[in-house]
Amino acid sequence: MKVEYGSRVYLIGVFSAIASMLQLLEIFVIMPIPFVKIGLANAIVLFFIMKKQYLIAFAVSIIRVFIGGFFSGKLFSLPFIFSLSGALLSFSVMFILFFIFRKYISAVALSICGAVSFNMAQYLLFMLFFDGKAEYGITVSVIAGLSVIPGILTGTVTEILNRQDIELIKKAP
Amino acid sequence: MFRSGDILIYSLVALFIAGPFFLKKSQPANSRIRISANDRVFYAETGKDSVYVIRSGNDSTEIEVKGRMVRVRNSTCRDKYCVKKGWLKETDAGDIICMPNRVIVSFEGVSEGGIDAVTE
Repeated sequence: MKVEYGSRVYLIGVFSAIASMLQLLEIFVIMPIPFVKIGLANAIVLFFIMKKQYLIAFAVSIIRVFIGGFFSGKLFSLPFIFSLSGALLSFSVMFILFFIFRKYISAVALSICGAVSFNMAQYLLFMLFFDGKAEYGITVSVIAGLSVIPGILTGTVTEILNRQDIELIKKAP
Repeated sequence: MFRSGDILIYSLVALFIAGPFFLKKSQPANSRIRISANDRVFYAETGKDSVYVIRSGNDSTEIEVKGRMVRVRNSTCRDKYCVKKGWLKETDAGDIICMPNRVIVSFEGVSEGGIDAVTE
């Protein structure tokens, strides 16, 4: 499949909308383990990182948090700030890892790192807000352990997307 | 698709998850026991087994330190609530209080700042 686009804004718009929709639809997916979300929106971010479209990936990752926050009625509230910080850290970790170890790392491993860092950022901020200090303890390992499952799921989805032979072609102006 | 670098990433994540189970909490070498008697404060070291006797007038309170635990072994007070309280461990919050003899035994740093709330 070929995705032709005139400007980056088009891709950012379309894929931010898809990512936000996925994020909102996830509310209806019941996972067997509480507090665990699949995080399919992250698959799109990871897909663009692996296509080396870093700017689009970054924009999608931030815009989906804003749109998701707006439609769930949590815009600019504490959960929104946690979510935004998680998205920023998760993008940075995936971007840096992919940028350095491009040839040696698969989408699943990248996605696991992204998921773990997303939840760690949220946990850190939560603890700093409400407790004033954050400790590296059992809570951290439980949260990190639980985020591995959605990490594997999202990574597998990204791997499937990558095999679909989707080409991003920029149209000549 | 599995790539060579994944092993490193997976093992790092596994280490990160398993880390807290292997890390032992470092305990302070020797904490101090705070003994307050008649508004005067004494300090006893943990680690050494010893018995302290606090006398004021006809009343006496025997405080026994064993390892990292402390208890009131004997007291001349009427109800002996302090003796019945038993051993106080270093990890326990709270203290042993003998009201008639005006003795308070607590671990330093554990039960300090014990005000929960102030209302006006």
